[in-house]
This record gives sequence, C-alpha cells and structure tokens, in this order.
Amino acid sequence: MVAAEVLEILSDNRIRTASSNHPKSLPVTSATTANNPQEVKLCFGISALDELFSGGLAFGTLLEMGIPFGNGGRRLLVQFIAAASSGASDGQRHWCLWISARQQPAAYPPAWQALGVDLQRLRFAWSASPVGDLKFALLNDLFRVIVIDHPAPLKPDDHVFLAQCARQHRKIIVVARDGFLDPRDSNTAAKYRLNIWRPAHQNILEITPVRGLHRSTKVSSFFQHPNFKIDP
Amino acid sequence: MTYPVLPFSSALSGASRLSSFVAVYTDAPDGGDFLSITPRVMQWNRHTFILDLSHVTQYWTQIASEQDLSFTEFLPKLFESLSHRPSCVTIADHPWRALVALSVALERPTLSFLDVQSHLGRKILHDVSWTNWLALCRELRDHLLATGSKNIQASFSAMTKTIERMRLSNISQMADVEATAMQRRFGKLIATAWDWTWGKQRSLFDETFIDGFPWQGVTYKESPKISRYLESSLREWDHIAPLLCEDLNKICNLNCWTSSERVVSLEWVLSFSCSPSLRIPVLFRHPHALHRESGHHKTALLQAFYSWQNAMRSRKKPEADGETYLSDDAVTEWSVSVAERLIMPSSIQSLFKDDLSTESAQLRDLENSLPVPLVSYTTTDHWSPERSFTPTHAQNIKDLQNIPFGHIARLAMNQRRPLFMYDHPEPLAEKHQSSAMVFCERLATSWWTDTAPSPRGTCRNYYVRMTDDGLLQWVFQNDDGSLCLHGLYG
Repeated sequence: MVAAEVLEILSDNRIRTASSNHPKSLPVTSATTANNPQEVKLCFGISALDELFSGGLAFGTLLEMGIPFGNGGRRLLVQFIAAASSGASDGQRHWCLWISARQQPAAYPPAWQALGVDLQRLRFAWSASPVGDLKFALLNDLFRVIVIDHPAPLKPDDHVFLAQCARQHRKIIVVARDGFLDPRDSNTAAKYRLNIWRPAHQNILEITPVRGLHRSTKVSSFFQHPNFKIDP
Repeated sequence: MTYPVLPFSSALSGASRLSSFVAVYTDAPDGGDFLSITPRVMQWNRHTFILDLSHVTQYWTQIASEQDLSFTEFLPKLFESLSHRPSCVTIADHPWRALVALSVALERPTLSFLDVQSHLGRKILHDVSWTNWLALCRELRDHLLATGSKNIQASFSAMTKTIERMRLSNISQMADVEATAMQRRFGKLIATAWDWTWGKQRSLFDETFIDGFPWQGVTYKESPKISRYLESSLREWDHIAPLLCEDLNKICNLNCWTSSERVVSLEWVLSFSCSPSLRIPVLFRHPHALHRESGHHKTALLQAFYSWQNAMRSRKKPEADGETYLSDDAVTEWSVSVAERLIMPSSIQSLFKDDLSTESAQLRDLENSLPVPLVSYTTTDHWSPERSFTPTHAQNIKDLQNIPFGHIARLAMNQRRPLFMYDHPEPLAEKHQSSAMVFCERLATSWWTDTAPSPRGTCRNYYVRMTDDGLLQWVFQNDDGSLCLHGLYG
C-alpha cells in the first residue's frame, strides 16, 4: 500500500522535490527527509521558518496556526502562498485557495501581489462553514495549497476530514485561527500546530510550537522602520 | 455594407465599470447567432438586438483571460467569429445607453465597436441628434405598450415643437436640464429616457424589467421540459435526488435540443400538498454541458440541492419555540425545464472545451459544483486603495502592467499597504496622533469625481499605527484631523 502511494506520488509530474528545484531552498538535512527522499515540500521563502520545518511543508500536511488577527502574522502565510503560486518554491505554479470566514476586513489583493503572490493562481472564497461549503474544492485535485482563515475553532471532525483531504489529495492545508492554540486541545489530526505572535512594541514575530515541532524561533516582523518610535 | 468589428483603443479605454448590455445592428434575418453568446436577447427593431451578458460575464471573462484579453477586448473577436457578423456593436451599463450610442455609431462607418463608458463613448453620447433620440423614445413607448404598461405619458409633439423653436440639433444642448423639468413638460417616459441617457438609474413603470427597461427576451422555439407526478409525496432530498436525476436524463434524451448546447439555468417548479407551488431557479456559474454528465448529473444535482436548501429555508414557518418546517409540506409533483441555454453554431464551438484537459476548464467545472463563488482579483493602475483592484470578471481593460515604471511604482506602494482592508473606513475615537505612528503615504481622494470614496475629503495622510494590544493598523488622517481605520496588516 505504501509502495503504491509512493509510486503515485512519484508519477505525479506536477510535484518535484524542494531540494532539487528551488534555488532559494535550504539544504535538506533533516532525518525525516533523508529517510524519505521522495517527500515533496514547499518552502516559505523565510529561512528561519524553512529551517524550522526542515525545508518546508510537505504535501499531505495539515497545519494549524494560532495567529491573533491584525498582529502581522498572516504575512507569513501570504509569503508561503506567494512562493507556491509563483513557482519560487519548487518551479511549479500551484493553484492556491484562501477561504475566509471573515467578511471584513477583506483581503487587499494589490498588497498580496506586491509580496509575490500570482493573483491568477489564487482564488478567494468566503464562507462561515468552510468545510461544508468548500468540500468539493477540498476534494478536488486542482488546489494544492488551501488556507482556511477562520476566527473560531473548527470542529474535531472537520480537522479529521481536512487531514484526510490533505493526505489523500496531496495538498497542504493550513488552518489559521485568531486565538492561541492550547496544547490541551485534543486536535491530533494536524501534523503541526503552532502559535505566531508579535510581542508588544517589538518588531519580531515569535513562533512557538504546540505540536509536531520541538523548538521555538523568531522571525523579523515585516515592519522595520528607522523612524518608528516605540513607547517605552 | 459590413465593416470589420475592430475597435479603436479609445473606444474601449477609460471605462470605470464593466458594461454588460450590448446593442447590435445586424442584417441577419433572425438575429444571427446571438443566442450562442447569451441566453438573454431582445429584438428592439428589425435590425437591432440587445444582449444582456450579465449572467455569462464570468464565463466569457475566463475564456478571454485564456487568450490574455479582458472581457471587453474579447467581445469584438467573439462577434467576429459569428457566421452573421454584425456591422455595428455598442456596449453600455444600461440597454438604453447602448441603443442611443448605436444610433450615432451607425452614422460613423469607422466606429464599429464602442464602449459607451469609454472616453470616446462619453463624447459620442453628446453627438446624439434629437431626431434619433426621439425615434428611440417612440420605439420605447411601443415596447412598453407591448408589455402591457398603461398610463404612459409622453408628449412627443410638445417636445418636437420645443426643439424646433429653440433650433436645437443635439441632445447635449439640453444636457443640464433636470429630468423633473422634462417630466413636467413632456411626460414621464421622456424624463426617464433622459435620465437613462445620462447614466442615472431610474425605474420605469415596472420593477420587474431589467433596470426598469421593458425587456422582452427572444424565446426559444422549444424548451426541453419534463414533468413528474409522484406516487407518494416526498419531503427529503435523499428521496428526491434519484428521481430528479432520472428526469435530467430524460431531458438529455429529448430531440428538441442537442448535446452541443450549454445550460445556463434550469427551472424546477415544485407543487406541494398543502401550499402553493414553488419555482426554484437552478443557476450555473458557467454554461454547463448537461449531456456530458448523463447518468449521474453530479453538477446539476448539486446546484439543485443548494437551491432547494435555500428555498426550503425561506419556507420555514416561525413558531414560538423556534423555526420548523410546515408539517404537511410535501412535494407531490414537479416539472423541470431548461430555462436558459446557449445554442452554439459550429463557428464558436471550439471555445467550449469540455474535456477538462485544461486547468481553466477544471476550475470552471469546480465552480459549478460549489455553493459559494471563487473570486479572483486583478490589480488596476489606480492610486486610490479602493480602486486599485477589481474582481477579474469585472475587469474592463487589461491594466498597464506592461509599463515597467507604473508596475514598479505600484509594487513599491503596495508593499507598504496592509493585507486586509475595510470596504468602508471606520472612524477611530482618538483624534490625536499617537507616538506609535509612522507616516506611509499621502493620497488625493479624487474629490473632483462623483466616485470619490467616503469619507469625503481632499487628501488622506496614511500611517502605520501600532496599538497597545499589538495590532498593526493602517489608518489615515482626514482634512479635519480625524483618524479612520482603513486596514489591518493581518
């Protein structure tokens, strides 16, 4: 069964390994990738994050993130979509889908494009119940990267369904929540769970793992301005 | 004499919105192949037809984008591909404006394709003669009478006398006259047509018309239709779906249409045991090949299910302890018919690729299966944040991405803008500039146009503002010093 799955992945010519094609990708040295050379990964294009994920996110992964809205953390997700949609990650321009349960504020596409997102390869959808309404998009092979930006926690069954979709259809599905994730939550469907937040009056984003990763990291916040006066 | 349908670039550029009504002058006896472009076609007079493209804009926009064209740029090519090529085409945001512009374009042989909202189109409207305009008003009156409208007040003789007495030639000479003044002297019909001419929305007599316009669509010779009388009444979708699938299979086998035709909408009329019948429109986002899914009809059943769910939700009866369905509300019979379809000549069948070999075709197929739309955006060259992007299906002309400086300047500007923006800026309580604010940019608000964004003001000073709870806001300061929240950095 495993061999069949591997053959299926290898025969999928839409996918190439991050290490072989992405000029910006870091050398893949993790034990996981060394043991599974066929594992296909898409990188963020942010060295600290790609190091954290040992070269990027593998197709078939469900990732859950706790990102307080308005904190600047979603910029990392948009950069991930930029790398996936523009082909900067693995040479393939993947179709991406951003599902939002929030009507306002809505995405401002020119800023996304300025970050490198190929708007032709990105679709937006609005739904209060994304798993129900967008089920056929989740089950379809077209969209390889799907982000569900949902303020409230999804149901446990929804997480299981999303994990199955990611695994069976070789997608990367990211669920971004407004609140912080708690290790005591019983969500075992997501391979990785992490919190991203920006400490008050600091221009850094702290990434703290909740599940699947073993170390924290920091990335510089996008907003670096010499004249920015921060209250003492 | 037929001229090639090739537009001047100025006949398309400058339009702020997408035009979805087309007026076409053709010598073809039966209107040519217009039903292959849209199912909504109206014959205005012997040679003039009006096309309503609003329901198929998204589809044609996708086809156009595959050829790296915008919808408006693609339309002339589409008309060129028809077997009976029209000699003159005008497009507008209202059918009346398309007709008025057509009357001028017909007098200028080189102007074979014109967007009324373009720079040239707006100029052309000022050249409409009173003779042509009043002739159109008389035709409008005839159409209103044909649709059963009563109490149509129009004093054409008084209008003609006034024009002769004042020696007026073009309608632009009275452009500053208000419609209310026109109505007082010449009646409601002329006042309404006057408002339509100058781009003001006004409903005439009957709200059911398209934009108040007396629309009389061309009807199909025969519509595929199947009726079913149920042996036992049904309530649950799971019981209804297999029978509906059978009916769709029967519709596909009818001889009155062919497998090359594409369905834009179905009409499903349900009769209930205890309540009036219910008409449920089943709409497809893109023209759907019903024959291709014979046997399972997955796409049609999904859209029927979504429409059924919405219709049943609206039929809920409010009760003291919550909402419940009507207890005896069961379906006893129904009829399902193809309400709108595209009848394609062989000349444009190549545009309808059904083999799902391309990603665009797969995307269209997926969009037809979903209850919510998938939206794509494209950026424009406008400096104002509100007008710097548009849904791709509403895009008029491809933007100026080929101009390197414009593209680079926009990128640099947008890199400092937030990922999420409010449609309507929200006033903030604090009036004074916080110390944690950094200036980003100063913008003029196009106050000299009617489309200036709210709140009004001549310029906006944008700042990045860091709140105590860590939010990164994009705020602007108005002329009066008040702060408004316009976006969040995600």
